[in-house]
Amino acid sequence: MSKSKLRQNEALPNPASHEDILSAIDSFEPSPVQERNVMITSQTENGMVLVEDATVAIETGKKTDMLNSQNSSRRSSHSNSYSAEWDRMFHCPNYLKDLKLQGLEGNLRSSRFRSVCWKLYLETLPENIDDWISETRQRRADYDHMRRKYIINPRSDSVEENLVVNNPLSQIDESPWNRFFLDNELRLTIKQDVVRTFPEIEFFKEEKIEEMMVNILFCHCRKHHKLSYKQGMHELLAPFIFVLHCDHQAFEHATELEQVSGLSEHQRELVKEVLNPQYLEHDAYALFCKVMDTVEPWYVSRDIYPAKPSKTEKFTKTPFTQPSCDYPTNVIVTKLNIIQSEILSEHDMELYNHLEKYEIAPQVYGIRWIRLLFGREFPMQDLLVMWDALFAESTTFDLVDYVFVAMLLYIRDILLESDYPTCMTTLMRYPPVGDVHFFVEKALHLQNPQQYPKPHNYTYQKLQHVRQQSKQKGDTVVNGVQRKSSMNEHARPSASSMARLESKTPALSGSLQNLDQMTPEDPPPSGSPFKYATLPSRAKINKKKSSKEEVELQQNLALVQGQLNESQAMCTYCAGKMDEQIGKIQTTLLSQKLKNEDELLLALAGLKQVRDILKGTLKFSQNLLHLDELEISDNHYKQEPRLTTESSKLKSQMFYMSSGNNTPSISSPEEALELPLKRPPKPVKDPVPSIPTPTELKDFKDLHTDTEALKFGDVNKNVVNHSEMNPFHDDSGEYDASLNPFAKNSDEHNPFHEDEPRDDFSMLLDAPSMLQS
Amino acid sequence: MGDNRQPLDSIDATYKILILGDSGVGKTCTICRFCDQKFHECYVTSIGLDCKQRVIDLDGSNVRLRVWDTAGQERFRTLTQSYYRGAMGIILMYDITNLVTFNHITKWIESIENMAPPDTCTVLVGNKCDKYLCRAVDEERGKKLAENFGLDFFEASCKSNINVDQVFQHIATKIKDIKDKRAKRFQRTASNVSLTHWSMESGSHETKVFKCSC
Repeated sequence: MSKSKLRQNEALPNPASHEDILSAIDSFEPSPVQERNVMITSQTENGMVLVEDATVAIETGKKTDMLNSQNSSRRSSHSNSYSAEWDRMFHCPNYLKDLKLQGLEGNLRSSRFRSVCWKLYLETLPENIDDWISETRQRRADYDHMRRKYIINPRSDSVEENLVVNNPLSQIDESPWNRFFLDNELRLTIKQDVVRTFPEIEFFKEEKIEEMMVNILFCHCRKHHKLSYKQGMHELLAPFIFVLHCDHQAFEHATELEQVSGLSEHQRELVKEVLNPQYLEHDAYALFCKVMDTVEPWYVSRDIYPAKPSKTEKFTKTPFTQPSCDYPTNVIVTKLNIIQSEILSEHDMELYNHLEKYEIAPQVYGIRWIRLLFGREFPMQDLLVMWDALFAESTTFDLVDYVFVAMLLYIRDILLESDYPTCMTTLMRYPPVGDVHFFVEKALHLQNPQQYPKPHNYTYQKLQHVRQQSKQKGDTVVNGVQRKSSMNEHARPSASSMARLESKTPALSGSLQNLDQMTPEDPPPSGSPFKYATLPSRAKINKKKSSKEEVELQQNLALVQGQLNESQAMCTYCAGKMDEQIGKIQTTLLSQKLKNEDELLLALAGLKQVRDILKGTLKFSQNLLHLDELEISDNHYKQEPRLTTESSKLKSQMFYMSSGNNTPSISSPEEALELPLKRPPKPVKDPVPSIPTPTELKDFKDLHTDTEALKFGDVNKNVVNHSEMNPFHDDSGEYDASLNPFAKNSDEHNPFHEDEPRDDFSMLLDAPSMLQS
Repeated sequence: MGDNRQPLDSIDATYKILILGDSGVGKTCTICRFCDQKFHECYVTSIGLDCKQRVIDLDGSNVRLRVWDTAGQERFRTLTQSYYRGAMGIILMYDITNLVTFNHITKWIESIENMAPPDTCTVLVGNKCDKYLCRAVDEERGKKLAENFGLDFFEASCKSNINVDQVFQHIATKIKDIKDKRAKRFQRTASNVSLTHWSMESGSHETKVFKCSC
């Protein structure tokens, strides 16, 4: 495609994904490319604000550090020229391993050598760079040869002299004309699909490209005549042509800008050969073939026409059997059923049961997902990132199954609260996604939880972000309106299992007593944040198996990181929930003008402290456990609290009464939301997380529910012992009653003592246990 | 999904309708025309399945037509039962400008007979009748074929919006008829059963209880 044409395309109202790529290619200055990198990085960071924030405290691990340093070096070096990018990607001795890592991490988004990476992943290029040219030439020659063999023109190519055979009207099978007519039919079938390839992308409407696609598909079909051409193949081929073309253009522009001068003569020749636009068709065929080698079984559908079933048979069939039972020979159906009934059910029984309940067989929505390698589910640019990872992970695309499940898990909340038609719509028109790389992370974790940390759950905040994004994307998404509407409807309860709690909240608004019922008696659903409780045992098993200490450490680290990610998400959620409930309780309390209002409000204050610790606005440290006495005046809820012990700034946020404005240093709710994000990063050498770990919470809970001394006791008129209200009071696990001046001798002050062994405050102490179980 | 203007609670019935036919005859197009009242020149090739719905008024009751779209090439190999289960109506479609698609109709009918549940109402539709200049299949041929297999016949055009709604309306009416008939039959059998039940009442009461608990 000529440059002028390219620009012409750009001027057309193409979807952003396409335009982005083209503009990146077409930029005559290197700066736009850089800008795009920055944009993408920040975009991801926006999406992951909470995540990044959450991981600050835990990025102590060797692996994480290593990855981060690599990331940062990569990010910074993105600004480099074409030649520098080449050097960085292919020059180091063990480059392929690193290249695969980059593919898995989604770092090829803006690479100008994506096609080369794909060639390496799919092994159409050997790892040894010195062999690249010979291998490339060989493959291209092979294609040329095959093309000549299959694409025949009986008029000119025919060697047959016998006019009885070589005759358009000849009925003889060997007649070149017979073949010719058959071929034409096939080409027409292919053409019919090719003209419908990615209609939103202008590039594929070019006649030259259409012709090229028909040729490639035709040759592939002739070569693999058993498989023949199947609908969907054209959409597997299209991205290859697109990526190759982009890289060719990028190279041309780099040459014009003389950015290639950084490359040695030899390297330049190599790049020029590998990215020669003349061989777009050849290279695309090679890549396509490699993919088809793996994907082929998913396209095979044997003609297993069953004998006409007798009438009785129809009725005796069990009504709930999956269709697969009847046709087990179809690889794709078997595969899909394994995915849904084995992988999905392992990770999310609730969702699996839900789909089973509605008899939504995976082949109803999944055939397209798998056959097109998710080509219809994401916009082109996201799709390429997804493919980076699929190809990089293995040539057998094992990741596909797990991406499939990750995609189901992402929309589980929508599915779980939907009826059959909404489920179908959601599955068939997959909602827009903020960062497609999330699926890769999730899939890698599902596939190998030991090696890859559990990614941050897509929580409420994240879904909101997605919503915003989808709004921004607007018309770039096919069926955008439908997708958006379904998202908007369902975006709210997102922290999966948390929805369970949420449904109970109306009952809570009334009284504190109800808090008791909040203890989740229902078993925690798998795949929920609670699941990590089972993970340590896995680590143990792993220890036995693995002999290498380092591997073991890394795996444990990944586990711990996953757990920490989860607990952070959990804390954020709990803080939000507590905030909401505290507000309700307080309003009710104040309106009732109770006699013991003060005590209850004090208890509430304690709750708020817990909330702030969870939120992260109140820093949790060991100091807090000991130096925690706070004196407040009688009319504390009308005045600013006065602190007697600690003078730290953080402490000043510890105690306050008005819920409308519940953080002293915060003036607006918006600010309050931002505050956790602004939290200064914790120094790496300090291993104490800013949030209480589940274990700590548990220790605490056990301690306090078991120890009589910890009942909310003190109603000293002027002084509140904060250590009592601090759930993290004792880290040692041994509660020393003597440390607490009010533990024993405050009976006469304590209105709840004895008669209410589990008063409001002790219930509050149960809150962490809820999080625990 | 397509048309959600009617409140969901007022829906009296849902009919499952399939659209079958060769690739490129305009199945997806028809569904979009009917459900979204839109027409695009170019659609992506359907892979696997798709599903849309629209609520129509049928003799004063709101009936939701859930229309299933399939890839023309998919045929009956991978989808089979899940696709056909509960199907009440089938729209069998060919392209009047493409003789091959018409010739394949008999194959499709054969498949339907094999796979579809009994009592399915099938309609034959010759699509793209706006392109009469390129016509390759005469209307008479279509009619005759439909007659031979006892199907109803329409020629339609999604592009010019000819007969699209009529096809669906017709199929919905037919389905309703079949359902009503079946309901009557059921009522009749049900009353028979209650009669026998009545007569048994006087007999062995204990046996019945045993059966129930089993």
